Amino acid sequence: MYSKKRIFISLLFASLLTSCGSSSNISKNIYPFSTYLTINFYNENNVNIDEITNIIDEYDKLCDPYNAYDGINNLYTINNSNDFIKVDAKLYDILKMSIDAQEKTNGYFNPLIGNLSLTWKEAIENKTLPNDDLISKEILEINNSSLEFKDDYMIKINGEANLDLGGITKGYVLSILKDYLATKNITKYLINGGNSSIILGNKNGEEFKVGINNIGAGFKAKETSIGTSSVDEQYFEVNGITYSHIINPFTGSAVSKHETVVVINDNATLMDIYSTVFMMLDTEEITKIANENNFKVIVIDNKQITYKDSEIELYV
Amino acid sequence: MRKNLIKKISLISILAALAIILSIVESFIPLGIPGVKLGLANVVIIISFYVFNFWYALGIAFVRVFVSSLLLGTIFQMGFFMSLTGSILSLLVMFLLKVIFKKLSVIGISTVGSVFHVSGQILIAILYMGNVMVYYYPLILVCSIVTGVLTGFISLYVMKLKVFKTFNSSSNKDEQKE
Amino acid sequence: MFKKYKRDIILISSLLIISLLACLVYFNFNGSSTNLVANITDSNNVVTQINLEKETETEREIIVDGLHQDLKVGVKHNAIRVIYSSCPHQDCVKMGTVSTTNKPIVCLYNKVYIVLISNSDGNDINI
Repeated sequence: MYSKKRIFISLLFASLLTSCGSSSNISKNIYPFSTYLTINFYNENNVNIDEITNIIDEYDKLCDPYNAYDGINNLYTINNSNDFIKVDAKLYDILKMSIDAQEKTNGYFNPLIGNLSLTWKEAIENKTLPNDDLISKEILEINNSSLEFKDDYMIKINGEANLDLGGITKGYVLSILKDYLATKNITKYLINGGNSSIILGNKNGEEFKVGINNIGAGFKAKETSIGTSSVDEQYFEVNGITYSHIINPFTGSAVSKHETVVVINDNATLMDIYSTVFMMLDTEEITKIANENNFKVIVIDNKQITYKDSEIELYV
Repeated sequence: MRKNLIKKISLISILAALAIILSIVESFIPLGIPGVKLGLANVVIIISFYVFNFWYALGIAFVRVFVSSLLLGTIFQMGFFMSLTGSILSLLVMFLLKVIFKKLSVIGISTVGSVFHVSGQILIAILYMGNVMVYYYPLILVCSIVTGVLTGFISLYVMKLKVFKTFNSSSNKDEQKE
Repeated sequence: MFKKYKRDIILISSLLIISLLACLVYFNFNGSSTNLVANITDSNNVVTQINLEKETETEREIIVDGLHQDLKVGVKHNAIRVIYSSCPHQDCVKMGTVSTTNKPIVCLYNKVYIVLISNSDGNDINI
């Protein structure tokens, strides 16, 4: 009797400890566009995760400039052809949007940056500076190339440059997902693309806590989207100068003007585009554009905040 | 009397040798969790503790730790210091426990001894490596209780062998009381 | 016969219960698995910090100063493991890949240990 009572009590205690509260939180990690994407839903019971991953997967294939997929005309197909290629309406749409973005950003966003981008990617991997002549050649190619559109979803590249939509794809797909979730009445979510393109709903009604590592502070946000660009995502250093994956399409330079830029606004596509573009602009220009477009921005240089929109409240 | 003394010396030497051999053998038996051993050599220590006294047991424990680490090539390394501390601590506690709680049997004493053996080892590991070693403590503790009970049972039955009966030991006294 | 061992049973059961509870408490702390930073302490007590959140899915090797021989440690996105160590029991290598903050990797022989901490501080997103 002694031992039976003892066993019962200890088992009870044990079960209490192990039955930690379980709510219907859904979480999934996938790896599209070379990005670690995490999808989180909080107490949402009608989520079709497969539908969402299918949408992402489709765009992943369409926007891939390095691989071909059977039966799909994607970026790789367009890059490797001198003729008009008929593409899916989705890809046509993104490409049209990138041309618009190019105009809107006065050329700082350029979809034909493929070769230049690849050159610097290899440079980061090998930690050696690329040849200046090569860079000049590629800039010339970009200047002499253009994207041509024809009816019935036909696209062609004129010239030697190649397409790379890295600066817009994540944001664009997240925009699509944002609309999709809105139509399904799903509001409690967080979809985080590599900590650089994020769409936020709310966390059971509450705001999300967003921490910025290099300044040791953070802010709270909900029901919006955030785009960030940071030099330490991919970089290498030579002689004390940091070269990153953000390339200036005019000069071919991989040296950014800032350490980190955070842009907050409802439009996820624009956040992706501008977070990259702002890394190439002076703080004054950034604040001007931000005010014109109703973006909230944080600019960080040397681990300190250079500019922060007054509406953003920081906590430590 | 002289015959008794010779028998005593021979028995102690055999026990010491046995402790060394068992110690080396069980170092080759992996149990999955780092630092957990079967405790076969501890059977010998406990038997010496009961059949003789605390000091003989301590002596055999010392011999076991020194010689086995010499033979295994681990002398004056971490394992050696851990075993040494564990052995001393466990024997001290077993002695105190036996004196204070006379009604406890070998099994109970052996389990407590096992617990303090690993506790001594972990203590040295923490002093050497830092607080990270605390992570291993709970699991090793549970294992030590299990091996302690096992060791206790084995000791209990081995002690009943005739060879140990001729000594004026505590196990004999217990038997006489019943 | 069991009456004789009554005290032993009480003693052993209480020890067992206490240690099992300690196990449950300890091992129920699942630890974070996101935004991890690895603190590798080598045999010279030098701590190397590696931001595992920023690592890619491809494993890369780092060399850690061991007491007897250097260790080879593999790091990738939010995961770390010991690839090679000269210790006799290979406990650290057998531990495999660790990707949560509640499991340290320890090599007693070479006096090296790896502890993962979460950089999140309760943040939902970390830029």
